[in-house]
Amino acid sequence: MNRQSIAATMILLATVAFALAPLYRSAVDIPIPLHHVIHAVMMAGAALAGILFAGFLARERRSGAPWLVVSMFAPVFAMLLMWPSEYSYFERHPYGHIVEHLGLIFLGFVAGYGGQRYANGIGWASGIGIVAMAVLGVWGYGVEPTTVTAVAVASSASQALGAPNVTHGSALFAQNCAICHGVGGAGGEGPPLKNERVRKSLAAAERWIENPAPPMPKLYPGTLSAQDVADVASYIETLR
Amino acid sequence: MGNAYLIFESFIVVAALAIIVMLFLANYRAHEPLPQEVVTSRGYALRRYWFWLVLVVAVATFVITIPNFPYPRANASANAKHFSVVAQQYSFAVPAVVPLGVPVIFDVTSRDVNHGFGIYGPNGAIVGQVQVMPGYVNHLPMTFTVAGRYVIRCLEYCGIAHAAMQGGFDVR
Amino acid sequence: MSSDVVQSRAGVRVMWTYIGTGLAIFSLMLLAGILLRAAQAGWLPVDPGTFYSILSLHGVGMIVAMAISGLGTLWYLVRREMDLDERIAYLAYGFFIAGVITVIVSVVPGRYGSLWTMLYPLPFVGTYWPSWATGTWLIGNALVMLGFMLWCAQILGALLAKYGGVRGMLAIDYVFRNRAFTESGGKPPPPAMFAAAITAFDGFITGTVGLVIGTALLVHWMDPTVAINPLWAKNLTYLFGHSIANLTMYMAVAGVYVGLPLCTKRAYHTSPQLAVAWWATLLFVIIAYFHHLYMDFAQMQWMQFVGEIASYLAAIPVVVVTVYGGVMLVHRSGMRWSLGSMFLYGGMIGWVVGGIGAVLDATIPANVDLHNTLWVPAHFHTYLLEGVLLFTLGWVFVILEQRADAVSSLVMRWLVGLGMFGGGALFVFSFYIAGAAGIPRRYAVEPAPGPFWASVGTVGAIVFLIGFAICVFEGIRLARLGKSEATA
Repeated sequence: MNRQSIAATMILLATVAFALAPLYRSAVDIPIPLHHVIHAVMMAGAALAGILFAGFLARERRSGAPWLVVSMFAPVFAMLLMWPSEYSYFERHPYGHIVEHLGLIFLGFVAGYGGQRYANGIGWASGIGIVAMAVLGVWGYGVEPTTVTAVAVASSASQALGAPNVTHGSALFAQNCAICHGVGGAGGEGPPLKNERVRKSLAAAERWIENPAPPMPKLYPGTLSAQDVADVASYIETLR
Repeated sequence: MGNAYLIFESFIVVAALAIIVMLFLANYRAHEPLPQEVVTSRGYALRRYWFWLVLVVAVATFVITIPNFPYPRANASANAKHFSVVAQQYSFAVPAVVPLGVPVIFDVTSRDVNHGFGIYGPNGAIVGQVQVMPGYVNHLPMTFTVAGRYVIRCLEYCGIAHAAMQGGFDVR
Repeated sequence: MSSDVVQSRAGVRVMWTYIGTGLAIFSLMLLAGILLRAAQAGWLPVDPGTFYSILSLHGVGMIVAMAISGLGTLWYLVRREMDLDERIAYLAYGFFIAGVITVIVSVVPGRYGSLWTMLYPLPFVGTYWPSWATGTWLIGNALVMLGFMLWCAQILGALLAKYGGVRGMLAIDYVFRNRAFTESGGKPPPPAMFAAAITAFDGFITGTVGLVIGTALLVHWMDPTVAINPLWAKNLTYLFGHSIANLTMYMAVAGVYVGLPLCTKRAYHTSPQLAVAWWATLLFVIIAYFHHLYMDFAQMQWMQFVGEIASYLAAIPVVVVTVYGGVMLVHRSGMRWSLGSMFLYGGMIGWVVGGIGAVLDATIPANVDLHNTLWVPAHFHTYLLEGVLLFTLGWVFVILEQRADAVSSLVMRWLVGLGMFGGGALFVFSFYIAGAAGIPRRYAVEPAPGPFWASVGTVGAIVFLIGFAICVFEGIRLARLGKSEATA
């Protein structure tokens, strides 16, 4: 054991210890962007360890070609593992969460080690690449601005289009829709409006409410006005 | 803004110049070859001036165009009248009438996918445009100097009826 | 002389596999493109859904065709300088082919039609194609990206090992400590290696970003509750899309660095200016994409300013240096005009002209007039059709002419020249002028005067096609001649 291998082992152990964090703190409390950062740190440690390991394991360079393939695939699987959904199995269960972290550490290690086994320097490229993927995710992977607010902001300045009123929409929903779709859209006789497999856009939802297919009743333009439809649709948009 | 044909003409002139110069240099006394060292030493002597010329033109273009950037400025938005624009597949909700000669700001957003808000003047030329993005409000400052009917066209691909997505308002 | 061209059998095999596939895809996509322009002219009844599906295929297909040809050329040129494992090149090729087939499946039976820019949330909202087509499209693109990244990593690794790390690969000592470096017997990498290094380095970054946005969209496809920020998605999509389209140009330039010296019997040496120009491309090609978001006022404003500067710096130095060097090679060299030299020199002209169009569009006040009008396809068709393609064809013809020890007749050169330069010029002119008239791009049905210019463009494209077909037959003739020469 030389100094390099000791350092590599220490870094790897520290990273794995870090991965056990969900045991002590409910992971769901952490917002998704911060989560990406934590993943990036883990993978950075693992990639560094991988690069260092490769330094004393890879004596001959010619055999490195297959490693290149492995290290190129690592980032894709890492992105899949980082699935930023609160409904994702890995996020909800602490042990699943740890499995996810270990997977990310494995992939970070593979990226660094595999790249370096192929050629000196490529480990840094693929290691930085996989960490950069996680960091990039901070700004948009699993987070978004809400369409409803933007439409409201744009509309509030003039009377060209009434701003959808989500509160009014929720009242209308309780009166007219909750019988079938359940309170809060949880589902019942009709399909649930939360956790939908395929989600309608706001405009599509409005069109649907205005012109539904049976057995859903057509309440527009009789019971609901155009403004009511917009309000209900924007309320449904908030159900996630 | 509204200078598309001027840009086109300058493009044609510069491109034609480049083509003529390059064809000339390739064919000029082509049958009286010179050793490469001679051509190279002449070329290197000229090269410095050529590089500086390109640099000066590029920097000048950048500096000269800065005042014409279309982005909203803090002082302009204070007393301007706001108009909302909401785009969706495949229509625009726009005001019917926009005042002439005073600064206005369009607050533009989308209900579904990315669209483009392209304003075409009464003469058919683009006078201003901004992208329309769901979840964001883009503020487009404009001052209309010509009265008439303005046509809105979608300038970002948004689906099957993208080419038919139009709107319009009167400026008076 | 021919010993310069044929040195490594593995390199030659890989190159012809790549270039052959690239040109085959190009030919098919050329037909698709003519169909689209004819539909805009109103000559062919194509419904909008079919139009956008074909447009999606045309866009991604052309980029892959250009990239694959350039990657083949570069692989061979790098292989001449150092050892490379042939198997990785074929593995990458396998990914390209798998990706292309997957993409075709998503478009032809699936009718995917969100274009290859696939701006989130379009591929998922209000679509006229089934959801599986979106997923197939994303997977197909990811496969192409994986192949591209494999290629980049292989070349990057080989270059780093051969030239002694980043410093040697980019000739940093050669530029900053020129005297000490040359006196100690150091030699900078030849010009084509800069093209390879920049392609591999920036290609790696581009590929990573492409996989980030691709996988994010794929996850959203499987689980719609996964939110994505549209502005973030747009930035990543254009970083990936702009950079890879732009890199095809820098790949193909290698053909000029090696091919033109063969035609002129002169040498193209690395100069410090050339190295510095490539550094500028290396740094700025990645952020030049900011100009795609000039009209997104929600984007941070410093990015717009940086975008204008970066767009200039990514393109201008390397064009200026390369073209200046290229003209110095040809000027009074006594070069015989052949199809090969004609294509290489004509490609430089197309590169300059397309570059002027691009720089104008990258200037923000002009972008207000030109953004998402037909000016955009005008400039990139100029540099792809009359630049990248000509560099690739020029390189191919230089090799064929050397092997056959023959050049095409004057009549043949005029026929091909009129077709490919004349027809091509007419074709791109129709885009420029319609763009200046404010006709939006990506319209299945254009407002007047769009259809008129579309019919002019269609005529130009058909003339180009005729020239290209003649050029292909001439290429086959030269290849046969070269083969009989070799056996004789």
